[in-house]
Amino acid sequence: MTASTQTPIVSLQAPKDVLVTQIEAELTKIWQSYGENAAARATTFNLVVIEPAVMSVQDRMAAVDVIASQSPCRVLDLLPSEDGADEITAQVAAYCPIQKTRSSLICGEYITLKGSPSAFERLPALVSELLIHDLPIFLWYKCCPDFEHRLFTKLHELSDRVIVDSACFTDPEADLLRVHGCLQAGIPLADLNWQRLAPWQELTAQAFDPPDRRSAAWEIDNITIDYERGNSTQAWLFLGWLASRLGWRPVSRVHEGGDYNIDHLEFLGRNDLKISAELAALPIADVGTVVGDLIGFKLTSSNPAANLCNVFCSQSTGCVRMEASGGAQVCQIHQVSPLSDQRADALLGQQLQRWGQDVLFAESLAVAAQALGLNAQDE
Amino acid sequence: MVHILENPLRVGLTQERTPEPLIMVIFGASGDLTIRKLIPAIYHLKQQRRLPPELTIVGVARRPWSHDYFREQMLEGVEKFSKGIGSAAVWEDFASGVYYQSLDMGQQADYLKLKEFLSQLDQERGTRGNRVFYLAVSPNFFVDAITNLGAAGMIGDRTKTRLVIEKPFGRDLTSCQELNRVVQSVGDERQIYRIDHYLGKETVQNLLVLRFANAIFEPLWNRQYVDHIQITVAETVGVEDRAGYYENAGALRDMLQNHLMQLFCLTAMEPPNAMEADALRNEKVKVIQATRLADPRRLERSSVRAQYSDGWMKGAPVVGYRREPNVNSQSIVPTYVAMKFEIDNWRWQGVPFYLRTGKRMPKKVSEIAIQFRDVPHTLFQSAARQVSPNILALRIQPNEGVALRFEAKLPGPELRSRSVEMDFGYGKTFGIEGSDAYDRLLLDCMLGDQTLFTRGDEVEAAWNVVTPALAAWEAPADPHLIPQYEAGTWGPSEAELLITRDGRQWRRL
Repeated sequence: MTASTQTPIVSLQAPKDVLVTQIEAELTKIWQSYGENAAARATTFNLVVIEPAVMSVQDRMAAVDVIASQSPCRVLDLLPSEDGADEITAQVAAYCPIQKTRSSLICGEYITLKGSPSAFERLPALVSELLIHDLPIFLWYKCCPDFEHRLFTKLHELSDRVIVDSACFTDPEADLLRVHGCLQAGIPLADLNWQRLAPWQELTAQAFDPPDRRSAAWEIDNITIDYERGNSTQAWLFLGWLASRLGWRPVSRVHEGGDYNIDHLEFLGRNDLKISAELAALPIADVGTVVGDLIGFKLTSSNPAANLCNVFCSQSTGCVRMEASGGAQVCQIHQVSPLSDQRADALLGQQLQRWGQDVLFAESLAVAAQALGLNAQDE
Repeated sequence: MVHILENPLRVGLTQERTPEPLIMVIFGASGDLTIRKLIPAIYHLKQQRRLPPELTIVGVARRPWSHDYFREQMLEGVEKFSKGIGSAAVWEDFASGVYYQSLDMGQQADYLKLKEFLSQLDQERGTRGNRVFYLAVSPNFFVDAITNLGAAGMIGDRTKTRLVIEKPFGRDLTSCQELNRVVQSVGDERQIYRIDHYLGKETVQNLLVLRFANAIFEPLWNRQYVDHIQITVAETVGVEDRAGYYENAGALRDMLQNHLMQLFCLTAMEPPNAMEADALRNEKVKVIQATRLADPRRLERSSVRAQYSDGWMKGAPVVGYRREPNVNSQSIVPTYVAMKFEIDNWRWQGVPFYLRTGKRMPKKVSEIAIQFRDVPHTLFQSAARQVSPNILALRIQPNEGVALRFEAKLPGPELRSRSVEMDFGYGKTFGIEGSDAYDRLLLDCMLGDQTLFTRGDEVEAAWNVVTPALAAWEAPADPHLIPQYEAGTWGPSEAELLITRDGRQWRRL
């Protein structure tokens, strides 16, 4: 259950076309027409949203509703258009989440700027002018950013945090490496897809929480990860997380391909322990709204004294491949309970509460990038 | 010293910790608290994915309910008293770990049956012997339950079992000490979680953040700058259907000794060394131990009790306390208490703390107001003829937030001032609903974090402060001598006198 389904939004001012030069004046007019008692103007941060070229109005507004219901803010929605016109058009609106506990409305504002790709070249200056100073600035790319584009460069320089979702990367491996490059360059970039791994990480850590099991984590020398075919970023990030926590260094990568598009990797761990990893992309009939979710993974050790065989699988998709060959009998099975909200707009709310770099993400991606950077040999 | 290895996979994940698999055994499972608060809170934690999949709940009460009937009752509670179950699949998953066991609190044999049932559940649900026993029952049953749990060997394992005890913890200092003795005879203080839900409120915790995460307030937080402090917890409701309980408790036991005392502690205590259970609780104990009624020899100068009489609430007539159903018509139980505390330490010497709480007051409001001293010399004329003192008001409810009142120049050619408010509102700033107090406290308890729970010596010290008033008020008295206040007003004239005698006045909220 997300906030979006719980908090209704009332529109104080329906979207209204205005001249770009009149945006602030028009917003002031809206607020002046309401008394402070009826609707209070409040802004806790700036959110700049880069929309994909093709997106339904409903989807666009759903995401904003979620944000609006959580915190009043100024949203700058940048919408590329294909009509070829070289001018930037603007709309302003005001919205208020209705809180049952309050008699007055707390409202934020919404500015849409629409223009062709060539018009967008001029956008950074306008965005800069419209941002409310002294408040945090979040830049949210709903689609995969063009990391080399001037717009990205100019906008990230203005921002306290850049939010992307690697689940929609079109070239997952190359784009992940670009994200890594951004982090290395000090760009405070966050990935919503990384957040989707939190329950998996929590459950994995929990398996090694009992004091008598902690040393077993260092005995892991084999990991198999299954993920939904279509996007490998979650699998790479998860492998990167595990490797970074356990100090594994990637040494080789072999691409087997086949039906499951399998990758084999070798790592060196503590005391030169050799660790094998396998990433397999499984075809799934219904992948839901997010492509590339983890399906399951298995951690084992060739040291029988470690008594280590743990299978982690999604309760919604199950993990038949992990439980095969006796795995169901000899391994401890952990299930990730139903994930009620893993949509980007719901995850976004958490990202808007912090800024700066996520160290755990940066460290995990660094190892994943090393592994990705190994020259894959085809089998 | 045993060296325990760190879990390498836990590093960096600490913010989203989930408790270990455990069984929560709720005594008083058929009661209001379980249905209205506890189960909705635990279910909400489940929806937020804060609980392990193995979490198991066993409701315990006298009634001969089945597992399914108990689940139905809890489903009704979640639908009625929270935002509902949301996804049916999540509820099914949750309900599959909910069980019921009938038990007579006084029967030792029933505890052995319960013990056996819990062991069986350990096997089926993988809960590894971890238990939280939650006593959501009348205080009359605390001793029976604790003694029998101890005798059955159910809370012997200090690393795996915890005991949560609802307020009131004792009726007075003697009974509190006795209850502490019983508790400590069967378990360790580290296993005991005395719950006061006020400490789970976001705004109460914000008091700690306001004081200790900001450099500007703490230098003013002392006798040099503070004139006095007022703590108010006002309710609009009357005794409702709780006459049986309230006739034995009254406002002092029900509110002041616990909720208001917690607000008082957090306002007055010294900064703890760390945000850890014992560091925080040590400071709370220290400040309560230095606290006393302002004039215990002349009780009327530091404590006032009263009862509401017939009056009006929201335009409708309401009956006085003694005419409420199941209330003794000659009752002397107070529904309003006001007290003046003083603290004998360097920080607060000479700064009075006025606390008041009552039922049937005009508004439901809780706040802490720090009134600062007057400016030493007045340079400007004020619109209010005199310069109003600065007040920092911490609103616990409603409209949670912080307001600072200060003087500002009135626009115009003359140099005259007027009081204005700088107002921070939680709702306006964050827009996000804070977690419910029980969500927070139940999760803390499952995680083994005692920071927001009261320690045995702290409760005893709190009883000790109010004992002079309690002792005097427990004595038989002519009901006609108990001060009355009209329902829908801010209390009796005696309470006004308590503060106006000092040249101050209660805030009109």
